[in-house]
Amino acid sequence: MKAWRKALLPCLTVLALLAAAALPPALSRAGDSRRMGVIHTEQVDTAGPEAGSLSLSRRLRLLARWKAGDRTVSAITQTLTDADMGENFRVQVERSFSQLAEAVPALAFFRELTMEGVTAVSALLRDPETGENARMLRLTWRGDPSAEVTLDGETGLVLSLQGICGKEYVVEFGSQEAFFDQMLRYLGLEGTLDTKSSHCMVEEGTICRFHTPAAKERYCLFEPVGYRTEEGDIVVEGADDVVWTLK
Amino acid sequence: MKLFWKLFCAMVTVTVLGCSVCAFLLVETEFRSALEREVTALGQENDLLRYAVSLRLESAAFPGREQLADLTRGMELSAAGGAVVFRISDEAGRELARTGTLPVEAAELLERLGPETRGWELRETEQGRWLHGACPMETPEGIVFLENGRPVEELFRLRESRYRTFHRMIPALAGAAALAAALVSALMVRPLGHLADATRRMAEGELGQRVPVDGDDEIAWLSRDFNTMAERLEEQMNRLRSEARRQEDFVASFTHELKTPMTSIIGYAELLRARPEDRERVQEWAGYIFREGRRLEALSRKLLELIVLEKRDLALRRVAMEEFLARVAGAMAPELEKAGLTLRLETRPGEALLDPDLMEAVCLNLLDNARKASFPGGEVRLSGAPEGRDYRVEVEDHGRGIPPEELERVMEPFYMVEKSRSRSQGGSGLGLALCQRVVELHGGKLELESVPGQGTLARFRLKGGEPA
Repeated sequence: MKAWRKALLPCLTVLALLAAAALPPALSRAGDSRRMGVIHTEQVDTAGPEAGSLSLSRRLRLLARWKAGDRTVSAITQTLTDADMGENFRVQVERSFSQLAEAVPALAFFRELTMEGVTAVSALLRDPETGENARMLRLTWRGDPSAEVTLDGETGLVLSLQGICGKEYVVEFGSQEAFFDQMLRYLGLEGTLDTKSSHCMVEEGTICRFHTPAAKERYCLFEPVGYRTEEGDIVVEGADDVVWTLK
Repeated sequence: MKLFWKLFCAMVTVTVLGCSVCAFLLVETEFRSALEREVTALGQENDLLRYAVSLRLESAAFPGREQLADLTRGMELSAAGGAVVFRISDEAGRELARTGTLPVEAAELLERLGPETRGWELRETEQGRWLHGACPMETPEGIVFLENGRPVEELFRLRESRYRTFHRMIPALAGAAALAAALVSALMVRPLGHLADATRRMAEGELGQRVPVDGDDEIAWLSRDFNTMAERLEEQMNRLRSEARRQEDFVASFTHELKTPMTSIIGYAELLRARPEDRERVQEWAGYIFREGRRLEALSRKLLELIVLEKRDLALRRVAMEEFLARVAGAMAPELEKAGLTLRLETRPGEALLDPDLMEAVCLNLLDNARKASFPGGEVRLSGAPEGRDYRVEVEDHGRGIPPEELERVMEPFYMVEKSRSRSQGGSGLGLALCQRVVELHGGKLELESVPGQGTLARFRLKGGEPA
């Protein structure tokens, strides 16, 4: 009896050590088996979510994040079929390009683009901060001319563009400042220009990159590439450093 | 089991179990947070999917159930973690459209969903664990269910990986805990071991045992209290031993003091019985018997006084000391003159609280001792003077004096410096013991200063020595 009592505490200690090693995973597995197959339900509005009311600068920012591969931005994309790109679709795209050409004369050649050979992808993006959605349409032409344009699904405005115009076009881009002013006026935004780095910052800290070709160049670019974070850092896709400072 | 091992086992157990609980809480909390994020993402993807499908239905020429497969063809849902698969089913669970393969059966979840209820579940499939969500959606032809899923096996693998790391750490953790526990236990038990050793040795009679006191914790307090207790015990034991020795000496002295006169009395009584016709010698022998009898009587009286004093409460009163000492001197002067000694009285006015009868006995005893110690023609001084709030009384002689080694013992009962001379002078060895006791009862202390061959000074102080 006395020997048994002497051995009790060491035995309990060894048991405690074994329990300390074995219990945590066992408890977690017990928790798993309780969770597994349990159905959780909640009320939902069957009418479905409404279109978002994101500001244009916020949509530009969302586009920049999506293009930069931000994993927090959920997106649904669908390549449109010929059936989807009917007459109605063509009219809407032409209207968008006409508005662009009127605002920025140097981009008049976009008006000449036809729906032949175009790849159209509709995109639905979800802003992870606000939970609101933004519809966009990305059009891509390969060949001569080659271009990529992203249209806003709500307003039809061109949110980003890059392209090389055909040789038959004579393009007068003018100065960087003029191109920048025309683009911002077209989008209805305000911003500051950094001609040295060819970047501008528009409302809500969205960074856009643009390129206006010299005399014999035919390449032009305007696209949102970054944004200012809440901490004040500026994240820019394609910049030398991820964090970039606007001069 | 020793206390060391009890502490050691307890500390190791508590430490390792504590770490285990912390590890479980950390890993489980991290896992649950990740799972909740996945559930939130599942819901958001479902919302987005619903919105996308509703847009396609709005723009479709024939927005029927059967067209859903065409309308959603090529649709890709991408989110954190890559492409997400989804499926559209009707109320019967029949698949209408899908992208990828959702490895979860719909029936069980869809059965629980109503037209305005969405839900999710965690399922174990052949492809690992999946989160499976479903939500109803209205179409012109009735309700359809949009299902989507997210593989979450990676979360479980990550959790298992955390536990494997924890298992690898446990031996090191237990080892470190054991080292720390051994160190702490040894530090805690060491002072207790000292206390146990000291207690055992004290029980064996080594009362001089003390333990070291380190720090200011409970064990240090215990050690300090143990040392205090040991000191007091040792003092008490020393006092008891000293008392016992005194008692033995007292009994031996008392027996001896009784035996001496009794031997004389018996011897002379024998002579009286044997030779009653020798009238001259009979008178002499009867005289011896009488003197020894008186000595026995004095001895028993003084002993009685000593015993009575132990139990007596004194009724002290304020007495003018100048007159008091003059009266004492007057009572003793004839005896001193008879011995050829001069009594010098030096007093100053003052009062003291005393029992006059007892204090007179003290003064007479001291003067009588001075008489016995003095040589003929010598001088005995009796003086009294106020000293602060006390009244000091001194008796001084210039006689034989007391050797220093005996000065401490002369106040013990029956102790006599020169026994034969003292007895021949009628001494019993109780006088100074009596004096000391009386002075103590008056709140004072009898002090003796003596130089052999030069004389002795007896001094004591009485309370209430202010001038009258």
